[in-house]
Amino acid sequence: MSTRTGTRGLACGLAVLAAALAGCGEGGRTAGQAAPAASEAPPKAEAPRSGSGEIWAIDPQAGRDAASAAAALTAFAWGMQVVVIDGDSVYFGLKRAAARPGAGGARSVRLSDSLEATLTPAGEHVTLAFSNGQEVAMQRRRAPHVRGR
Amino acid sequence: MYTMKSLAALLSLLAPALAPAATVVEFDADHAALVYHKAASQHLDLRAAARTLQAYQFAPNFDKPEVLERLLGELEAEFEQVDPAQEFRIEITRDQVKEYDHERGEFSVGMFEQGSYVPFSAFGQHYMMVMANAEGSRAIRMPREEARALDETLRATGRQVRTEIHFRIIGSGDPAGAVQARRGSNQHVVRAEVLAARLLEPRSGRPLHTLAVVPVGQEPAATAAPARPAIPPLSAANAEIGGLRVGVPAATLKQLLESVYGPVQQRSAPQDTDPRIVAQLELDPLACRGLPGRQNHAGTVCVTALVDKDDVVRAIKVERLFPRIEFEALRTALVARYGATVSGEPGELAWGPVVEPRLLVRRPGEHALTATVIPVRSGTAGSAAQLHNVQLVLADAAWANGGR
Repeated sequence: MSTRTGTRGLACGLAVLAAALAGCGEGGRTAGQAAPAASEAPPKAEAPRSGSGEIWAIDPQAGRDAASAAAALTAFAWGMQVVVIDGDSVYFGLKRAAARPGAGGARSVRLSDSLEATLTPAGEHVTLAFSNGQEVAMQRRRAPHVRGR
Repeated sequence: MYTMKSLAALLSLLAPALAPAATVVEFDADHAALVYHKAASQHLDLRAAARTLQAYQFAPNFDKPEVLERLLGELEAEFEQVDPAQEFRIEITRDQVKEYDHERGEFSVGMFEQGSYVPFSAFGQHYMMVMANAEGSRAIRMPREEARALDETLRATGRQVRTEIHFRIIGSGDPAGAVQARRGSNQHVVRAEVLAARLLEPRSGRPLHTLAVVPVGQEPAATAAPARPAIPPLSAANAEIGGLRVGVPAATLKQLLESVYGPVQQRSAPQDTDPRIVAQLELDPLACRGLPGRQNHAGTVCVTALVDKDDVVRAIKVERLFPRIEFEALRTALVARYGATVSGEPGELAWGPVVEPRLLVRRPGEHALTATVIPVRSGTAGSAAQLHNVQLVLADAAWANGGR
């Protein structure tokens, strides 16, 4: 049949690649089955107070190598492309997490049952390290000036 | 890449090892599509299929009617002759084996994890082939001491393998429900049964490990294993993108964005969006678009949010420019966050239920959460740089579909 359809059939046959998605839960629960339930209350949204805390953002150049690219993507997936460190609290997106202190000024927050993020000062930077072994540098960012705020 | 000749030669070497009795043919998208439509009793418009063939498309207009009738006749004859029990052999060329799980005492093969599928296209249709008995072949269970040797081999290949599968097509739909066709689309979920499978070294093709196979219908008793922690399905409680959520007051979102990113503009709702939307919040959306002569910067974050009359955010788009991106790395990161994808368009990842109204997406009928990568050419012709805009879009599906 490839002969009849010319290169199209051949290309399809050879281009077959596994979607090879990472594992998800067992027991028949899938992302596609559960519509967000109207009665299910989302967690409380907590934005950091304006001008409070230090703002750190993923190094814009992170991603030029595969290792930092993977870490930057993980950070983006969990809303940690920008974090605000305010005392013992770490804000990322609309979440506030109580950070667990560690050695060298490190602060750890749990993202899920299997993933934890640790922010560790490293000179002028902060290193964002995930418990899956990925890590990426973060840079300090000045609070934006918004007129009339 | 292999030529068909070398694949055939390889098949002749492998056939005795994996399929001693049945006639196994090399995977061919057209052939597999016809078998699927016959085995699953799924209608295929053969006339429309014939129009997709090159012989028809390249024929002079004058000859097209005659060519179409000839191709239709050929297709009808082939469909009649096709054996619905045909067995195929395929190699998944970029499969991966995960790190050894010490608690469970197993490696896990990516191709056989829930939500994985083999995509192929034929006759203008898109097919996603899932293995109904994948779980039986997913795990390579072995004691730690034995696992060390296999792990060393896998480390040498960057954990990449070629997975050779012998299978037959047995019906339609993913029994696990993780892979779904978009409603009203030309997508099909093909259900297949693994008959034999083994891992091959990616370059040499040297056999690394023969995988277990549990026939369809015998899975539960044979594959009982300790449960792994599940990634919760997409829900109102955990659905967020880039840390931002729907269902929150617009003022809260605006306060956050202005605290950490910069000024937010409020505009009237776009004309082509759901009529219940009354306003749109924007954080520098042009900074993530590749406009002629414009310099874009890696690390830039752009946000667009749609707000209803109650000042609640109902849809949100978060974009970030990355200097470089591998789609597989994005897929891995997001699947670890949101679980298995449902089907999306090529180059798109999708989760959650279908959202009927048009909300920040290209068309109605998108899934609640989608991820795409859009190349952005930044700068002028003399000094252009390629960036990648990773775009996540989330809609409040319960609100959108519930008509509140």
